Amino acid sequence: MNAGRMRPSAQRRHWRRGATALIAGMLLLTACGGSDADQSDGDTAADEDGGDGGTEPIELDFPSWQANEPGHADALQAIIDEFESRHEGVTVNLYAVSNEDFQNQIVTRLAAGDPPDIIPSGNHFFAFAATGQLEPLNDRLEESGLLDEWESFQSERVIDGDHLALTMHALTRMLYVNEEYLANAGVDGPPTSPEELAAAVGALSDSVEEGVSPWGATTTTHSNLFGESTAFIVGMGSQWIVDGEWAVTAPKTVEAIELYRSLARQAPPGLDGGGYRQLLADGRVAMSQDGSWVIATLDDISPEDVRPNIIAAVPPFENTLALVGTSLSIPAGISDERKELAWEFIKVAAEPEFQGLWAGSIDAAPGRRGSIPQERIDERPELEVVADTIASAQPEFPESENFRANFGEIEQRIIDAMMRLLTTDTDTLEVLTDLENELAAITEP
Amino acid sequence: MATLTGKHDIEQDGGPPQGRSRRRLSLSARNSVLSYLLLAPSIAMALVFIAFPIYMIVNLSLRDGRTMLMSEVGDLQLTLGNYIDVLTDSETWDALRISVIYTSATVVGAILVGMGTALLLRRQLPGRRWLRTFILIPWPIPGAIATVAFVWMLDGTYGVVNFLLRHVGLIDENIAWFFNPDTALIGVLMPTVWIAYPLCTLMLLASLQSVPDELYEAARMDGASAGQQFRHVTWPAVQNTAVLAMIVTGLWSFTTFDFIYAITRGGPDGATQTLAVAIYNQAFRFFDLPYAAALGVVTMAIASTVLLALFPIVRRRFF
Repeated sequence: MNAGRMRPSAQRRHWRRGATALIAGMLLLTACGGSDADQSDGDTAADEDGGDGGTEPIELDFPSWQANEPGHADALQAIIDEFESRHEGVTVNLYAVSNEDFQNQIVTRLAAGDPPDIIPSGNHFFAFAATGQLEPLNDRLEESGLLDEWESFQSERVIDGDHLALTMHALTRMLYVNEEYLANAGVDGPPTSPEELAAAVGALSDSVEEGVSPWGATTTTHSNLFGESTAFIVGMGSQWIVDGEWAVTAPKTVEAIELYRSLARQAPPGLDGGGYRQLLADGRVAMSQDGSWVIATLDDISPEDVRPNIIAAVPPFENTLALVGTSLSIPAGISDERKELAWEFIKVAAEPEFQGLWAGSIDAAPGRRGSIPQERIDERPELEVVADTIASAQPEFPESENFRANFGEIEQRIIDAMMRLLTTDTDTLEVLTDLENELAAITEP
Repeated sequence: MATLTGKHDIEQDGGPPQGRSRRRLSLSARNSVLSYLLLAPSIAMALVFIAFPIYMIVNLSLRDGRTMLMSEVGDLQLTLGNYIDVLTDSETWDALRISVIYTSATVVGAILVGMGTALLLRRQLPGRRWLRTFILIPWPIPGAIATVAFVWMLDGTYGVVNFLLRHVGLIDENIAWFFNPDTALIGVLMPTVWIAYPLCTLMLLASLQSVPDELYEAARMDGASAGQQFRHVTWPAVQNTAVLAMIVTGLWSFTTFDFIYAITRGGPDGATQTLAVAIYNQAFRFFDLPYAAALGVVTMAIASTVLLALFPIVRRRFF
């Protein structure tokens, strides 16, 4: 049994042989590795719940980053309650996942063949669509006739002719202004042009007290940097891609980013959207550009003595931005029964009553035309501002399939470039030139 | 087979009796079989949890194309292109440089703090038991909890760290730790060292407790200062353990991901993007699994090379 001590040279030969055999084995396995077994994971969730048409309770899995957000939470719960009342034995498990983790979690679950039954998405949509695991809704939409009543921004959820999600609402960006600070700075009313915006922030920076910032913006590595910079670019008449070419160094783009940079450098450093939003609500930020959904948030979190001072105005740009808000998808990898139930849920969410409820509670434009009753608009004037803004809005994404397909990496490069602009004194054109080269290396426009 | 005389037949060639096959293994062979049977569960665990994932990663790294579905990996063409891309990408070397800095700083910080706390705990102080508990508290705290705490403490506007530094006069104005590329790495190092030092404390304390007090007494009687006592009495006793603690801490921090990603996502502008963060970004932000797998294999190779290089040192000190 005792092999005795091997000489060092013999030992080394022994280890080398073992390592060589191991590596060769792995390479051989890799080369011989063919297609794995056919996808047969579609029925896993159904099998677990014994989905055979109602003999056992079925629970639909519905994660959402909006599950606890003001406005969204109540609307979603109302939709769930209505759906459950119509489908005995079927419940919907809505639970919160943080926005930062949401995309990664869902992509991982889609890749692993264990998707949730109902998939909401914002800009995460493109990552989910890239997995090829979303069920096309074309037949269902045609049968239900919903597309005839849907707003045109539904086209943002069409990939290669397939409707991979149904848009619930569209949002836009508003200019949030603390009128008290503006008046103290000697500025009459919200700015209506980029030049007036720059002048107003300049005046605010001279007049606001210590501890108050003239402008609020995301100033940390965060996906918001893409949206905030794009709002300036699109607002001032440009895009990341124009006429099939990268337009990152186009004069209008550079001008827009210069303005964005000059304002963002006056914002509190190291904050994400939630951070500066809180400061705006607390009266510690005088002005910011943010989503229309923030109006409802301000109502909830802003102190009584501050909230009346904060108004939402149309952004001071020639173009406004339309952002597809939440859209709902069905994963391809679940059982047919669960797909039907998920579609039934989406249809409930698509009904005029719930479209009006959801969009109305977050100050968005509903996916279904004419869903918000006039009474609601009368009691909430911001809805009219939002509707007017969206009516003439440009899409956030350029017309480019490659941009959408590679959005993850493109977004990261843009975020890095914006952080470079905020944290260094490097010339704007130099940073944008480097960015354009990086984007061009990722994909053709 | 027994004969009528009761004696066994003996073959003329000395072999076993005819018609009787040798089925019984030798004692040595039976011991070997038993050994492997007893090892079988461990081998199975190693195959399932170590060998199979490594095989999957290597397989993925040799595939051309993008997919997030493991069932489609086998359909992709084989290629070495991912390795070429990884090794020729300047971001890989940037990430390696940041990983080396991050790992080195973590090891130095953890050993220094660990040594200091171990020396403190060796003293007969009142409340030493409570002190030991407090010093070891960071160890079981999940990384996510620690990052939340440090993000708040290091906040550029309201953070207590800035307040204390201004209070003692080390800085004049607040530092936006995670906003500035020059300070972001320092910001993520703080929670990392905080989590890492308790293990070093425990290991070093165990070694320190084997040092007889008489040695220190003798050194003091010979007029040795505190520094000389440390150099000539303490350090020789703990240096082997310190080396082992450095290796363990270094290997752990080289592959650490959660602290950095939770705080800075590798930013600002890649200032804190270590190899581990780069792998994650490639896999789950850019959805390029084969490239991420290749980067992972390269990272594994680097770590293995360093470990092999250190192995003689460990063997000389401990075996």
